[in-house]
Amino acid sequence: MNRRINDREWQELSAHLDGQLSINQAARLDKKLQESPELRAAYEELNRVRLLLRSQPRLRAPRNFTISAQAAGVQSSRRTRRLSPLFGLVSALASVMLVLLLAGEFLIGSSPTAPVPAAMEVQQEAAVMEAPLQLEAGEEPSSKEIPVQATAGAAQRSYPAPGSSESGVMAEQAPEEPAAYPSPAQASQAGQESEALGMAAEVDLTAVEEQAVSPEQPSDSMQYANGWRIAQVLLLVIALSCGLAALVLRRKSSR
Amino acid sequence: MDESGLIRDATYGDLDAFNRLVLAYQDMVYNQAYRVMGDVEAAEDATQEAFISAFRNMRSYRGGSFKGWLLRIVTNACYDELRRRQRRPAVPIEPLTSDDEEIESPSWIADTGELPEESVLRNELGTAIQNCLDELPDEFRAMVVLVDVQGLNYQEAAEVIGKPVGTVKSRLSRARVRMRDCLQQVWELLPPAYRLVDERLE
Repeated sequence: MNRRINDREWQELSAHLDGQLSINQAARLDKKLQESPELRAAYEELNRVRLLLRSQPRLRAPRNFTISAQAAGVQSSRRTRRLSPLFGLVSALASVMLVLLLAGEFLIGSSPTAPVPAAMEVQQEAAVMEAPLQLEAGEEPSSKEIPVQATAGAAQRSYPAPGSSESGVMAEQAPEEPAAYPSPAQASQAGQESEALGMAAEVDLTAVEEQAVSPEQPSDSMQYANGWRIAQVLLLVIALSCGLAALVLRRKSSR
Repeated sequence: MDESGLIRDATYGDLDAFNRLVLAYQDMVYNQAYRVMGDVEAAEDATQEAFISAFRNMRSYRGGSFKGWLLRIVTNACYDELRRRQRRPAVPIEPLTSDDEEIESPSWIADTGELPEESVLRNELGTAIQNCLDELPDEFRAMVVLVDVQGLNYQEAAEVIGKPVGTVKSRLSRARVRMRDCLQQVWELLPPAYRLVDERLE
């Protein structure tokens, strides 16, 4: 009667040939081998395969596989050759972006470090309030009021006073652009001056003052300016470091 | 200089020291590559690739059996190449008949020179064994070569393939059974010593 050898038995037979069974396992298998001619035949066949494989002559290497310095270098330069253009590309892209940022800054003409659109708005609103008050009072603008008038002119362009020719003259007299944006302190000062002129303006100007000294808007604009600068510095660093890396890798690979 | 000294120097990038190790181990590495790949050219490529890779990764060698470490590298190099071949199977070089049909067993490859009988027998047996090895799945083939051709024990083989000893046992036993099935057809080629075992069984 033919007995079928299962996987577990084959594994035990194979391990037994290599002396990999424990003493107990080996003793149990030896007993089985004595009892089963099929198992014994399988064991002998596996042993024959094992001996056959182990009897195969060891092949001699057909040549020496020693490595030349060049061969080891060639391998490394393959990788570096692949990396070098990548670094070059990143460097070029960073440079282009940096140039675009700088050009954009130049064209817009607004230095991001200068304060600040919020303060400018405050000044404009204050001037809008100031101009009608001056008209009512019929006073000539004093030298102390020049900053207010200047911004009033600017404000007039945005908010023309209906039917007021004098305000138009004042607008013409005013400088086209302020030399520098007034600081929040100046805005506050302007507010104080107009406060003295009338109670009607007082309420609005108080609101304006609050807006001018409000800590949120200036800090937002500072963050904006800082972000702008950080982006520029970051791009500069990336462009320089990647450019250097590309150069070094190219030299290495050409060695 | 002793092997550990050469290994230490090679770790620090001494190419001469490494090349002395290459000369000591190149037969073993080439044998592994040849038995796994099944042809001379691919075995040479895998051997060279393995030594270059070993030199470049000497710092990752953490002691233990240097032989086992090299066998691991060359076995992995062979696996990589076999996987590459599976993705892009090469067109076999087969001679064509006058009708442009492939001849299945090209007789023009066979060596027709007169050879002594024993040599012919050995060559045929060697070819038969290699053919049977080639038919094994890659993992089984690598295992049977590591243990039965390279003579590693189960623990060493487990370290080479990075698997537990149980996996070695299982793969080796299945590989041997498949080899037995394959070699059934060529038992008559066996040398007398092996045939005696067969006759004794019968």
